[in-house]
Amino acid sequence: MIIVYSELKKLLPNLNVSGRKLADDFTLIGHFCAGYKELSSHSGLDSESVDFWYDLEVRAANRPDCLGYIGLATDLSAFYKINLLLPSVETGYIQSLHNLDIKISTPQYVKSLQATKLIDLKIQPSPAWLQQLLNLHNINPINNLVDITNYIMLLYGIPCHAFDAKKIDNKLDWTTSKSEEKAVTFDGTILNLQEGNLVIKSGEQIVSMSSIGGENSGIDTYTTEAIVEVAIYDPTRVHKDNRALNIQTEAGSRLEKYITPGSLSQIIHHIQMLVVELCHGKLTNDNFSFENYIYTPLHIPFDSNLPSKYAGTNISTEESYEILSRLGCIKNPDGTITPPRERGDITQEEDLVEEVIRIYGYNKIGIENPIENSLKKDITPLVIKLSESIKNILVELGYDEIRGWPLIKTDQKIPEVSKEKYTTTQNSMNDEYFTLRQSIVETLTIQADIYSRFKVPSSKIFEIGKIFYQKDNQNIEAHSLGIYTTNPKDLDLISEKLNTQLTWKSHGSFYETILSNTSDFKEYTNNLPDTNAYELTTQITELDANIAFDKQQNPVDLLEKYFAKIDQNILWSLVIKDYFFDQKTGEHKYTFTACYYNCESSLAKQIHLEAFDLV
Amino acid sequence: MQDYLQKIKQANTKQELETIRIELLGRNGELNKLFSELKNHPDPKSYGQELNQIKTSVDEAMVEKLKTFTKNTTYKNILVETNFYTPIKLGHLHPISIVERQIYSVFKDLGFSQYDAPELETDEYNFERLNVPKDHPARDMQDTIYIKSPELLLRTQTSSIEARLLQNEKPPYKAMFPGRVYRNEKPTKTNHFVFHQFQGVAVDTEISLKDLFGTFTKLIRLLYGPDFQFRFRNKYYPEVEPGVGIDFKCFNCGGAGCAICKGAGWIEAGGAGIIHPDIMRQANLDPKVWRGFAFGCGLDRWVMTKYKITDIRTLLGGNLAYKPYQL
Repeated sequence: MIIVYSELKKLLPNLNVSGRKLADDFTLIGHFCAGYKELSSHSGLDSESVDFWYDLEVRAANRPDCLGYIGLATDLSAFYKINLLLPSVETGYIQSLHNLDIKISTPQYVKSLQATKLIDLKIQPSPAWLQQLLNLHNINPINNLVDITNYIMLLYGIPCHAFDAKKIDNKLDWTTSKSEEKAVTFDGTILNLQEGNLVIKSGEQIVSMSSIGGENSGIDTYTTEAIVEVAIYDPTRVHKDNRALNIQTEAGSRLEKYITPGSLSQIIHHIQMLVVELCHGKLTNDNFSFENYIYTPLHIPFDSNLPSKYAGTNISTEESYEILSRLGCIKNPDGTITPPRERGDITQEEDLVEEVIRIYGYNKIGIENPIENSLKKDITPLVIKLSESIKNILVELGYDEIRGWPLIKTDQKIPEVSKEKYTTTQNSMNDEYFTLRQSIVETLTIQADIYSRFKVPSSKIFEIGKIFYQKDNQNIEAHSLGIYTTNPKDLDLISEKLNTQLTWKSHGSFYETILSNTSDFKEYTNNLPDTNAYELTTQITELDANIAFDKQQNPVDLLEKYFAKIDQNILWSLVIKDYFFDQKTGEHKYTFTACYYNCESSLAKQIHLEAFDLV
Repeated sequence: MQDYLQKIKQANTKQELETIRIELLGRNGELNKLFSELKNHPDPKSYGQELNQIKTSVDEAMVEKLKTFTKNTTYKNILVETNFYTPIKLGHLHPISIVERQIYSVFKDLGFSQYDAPELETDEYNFERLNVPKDHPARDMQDTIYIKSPELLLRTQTSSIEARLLQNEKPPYKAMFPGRVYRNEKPTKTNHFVFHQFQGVAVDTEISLKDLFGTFTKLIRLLYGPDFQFRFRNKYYPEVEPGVGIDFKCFNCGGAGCAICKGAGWIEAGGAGIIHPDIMRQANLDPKVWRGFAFGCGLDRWVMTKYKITDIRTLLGGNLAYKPYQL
């Protein structure tokens, strides 16, 4: 949701915070500001003013009312304790109802709808302020009538749509598509519809989808009469249609949320007012209203002490009620609270508590005291303790822990170790990875291959993780330990240290055992050092250097000397591989092996020769 | 070969061990002689593997023996104490395990247990009991990986463990649980179809956001130091109310905005809040009596922040490796 400071200020005349602070405060109260920038010039402002642009991540599943300026301004009004100035709209334009030839054939998908016919329109470009505003919201200005509908959507968060009345023969029907029907959107895209998509028809012709207008009904410079509608649909139907037909529009992203019908009359009146002003049009008696939503005001009990208990800090009763009042809630004589109609997310006491704490400000809640330190009871499953003990032992024995993807490719299966039926996914987007590993050996093998490709000089790895298979129509899931080693005696050491017997199956140098939730083992603890893991981007280059000295050297001094000469960001390891006293020459000869990573071998050679003075 | 292994076992001093090493593994040692004759062997590949295995066994036997002579097994100390040149290969935990342990160490001190639950989950525990309605987009086939018959899914969040904990255990309790989760996504630098979360729950009679914030502050400062910048903000999650978003100042750009933080200057590090009363009721816990906090964090981002790993695919993708020695 993009918003602009100057437009917000029209609703909050006393808003007086810096652009940066507003971004932070939006985030604080629940509307994460993912983008913020200063606008150098904008005709909506006087020449000396600056404006600010924000990209907010509105959690519309919960707050669809904040997909418009008014919802956000209401929140800020409560947060800053400043007055909210709603648009002044003259009411009473609609003279009579149901004169329009509109039919709702699928009332299950239409919650609420209002429409009005406008005549004597003069379609032309919008005024500059409106065009610039839409541009700032990444919406292309089209013409004055279409731009009004988009402006209204930005203001109220609810999309509306204008049809050329003559092109649709003054009639509309909200219905569903038949299979193999096609629709052409206003930009010429052909949609291959499925049976049951929500469409708007005129006669047999599809003139619009719920989220995008049709090519054959749009407003152009020849339009003189239009029907403008604002509607709220079943969001699930809209979401499914948008997904199935790959529709991504501002309107669609709003209509697939649970918008609570609250202000459609106000919206229609506002459209009528703007059409008179900007399109020089006239209103008619041809209007339509449909309501398939029964609004019952809620009376929610509210204990004003609860916000303090939930927050862990004192929030006064007066402050709680003031916050709720500024958010549009009404305190009833019996002490209950009635939330505003458009706040469908507030249905119980805890919702009110959250509103109070959210606006009070999480930044006023203390952060220094963690939860009380008392062990209630240890409910840790033994298999976790067993796994952790094994990790301690293996690292101590020089093994590196790896973690592989449990989803593997078909050619990564190892039938020799996986005798049961594989568990497979039915809809993985990654169509190569649709099989769950049945043995930890499968991912260890992949890892060993990758290390071999990168020429990593290590052959001692292990993994503990879940494996999956099907047996007797049951899905089995188990904790498994896999080890890749050339020294099988380590397996006995593990059992010895755990004081338990593990049953291994082998596949070459790979060994695997299933870990059970057993109490028959001794916990093994130790202090392991922090890990030193790195992303490899190139093969490791291993190079030797034979250096002779006339005296025997301190090996630590030697290593430190050469360590200091090589950039640690490319030095993987440096060891003295061999020492040899040459009796013939009287020299002490040292063989160093240096491994270089994340640099090409030619560069590694150059660095190596320079470091050991071999150039 | 067995003779040498026996000699190693019986060595009484580091000097004896060094003599054996030179005799066997030195430049003119027995093993090198055998290697030099490899090309003349009728089956050089198998013979080479056999020799390598012998060398590894001898190496490891020597290292094991060496450990009995020295308390500290870092490479530097081995060198100082023994003048022994074959370094000990150090083992490592995966960075995810390291961070899991660091996180758990904080929670353990505060009385938290660990907990575990299936990765193959039912719709009930992954969604229904977590206040995710039937028509929520998260249940869409495009977001969740479903298993072929019988109808199960790969858990999309560690909150499913929370749902099982609330159902199975009697409060009061505190538990945290790292775990692997799955989403139906194409792998990119920042998203993957397999990733990790850690989740925690504390249920008691008087629990507040202040407890939650204090607990997290302790954790963050331990992991990243006292000057690390983070924030708590309101955020909607169906499982909690009030909901909390936890953000870290972007480690890559320091808040200026970059590709990693998608320009925001902050990286979302997790979500938390007071457990939603509907979830308590579903687990037959009276929300008027019991109150709890829950949190869930994307572990991978914490690990990437700590180890400055810029591509999430590296964590499980095979190209993560460990420097074998530390001087």
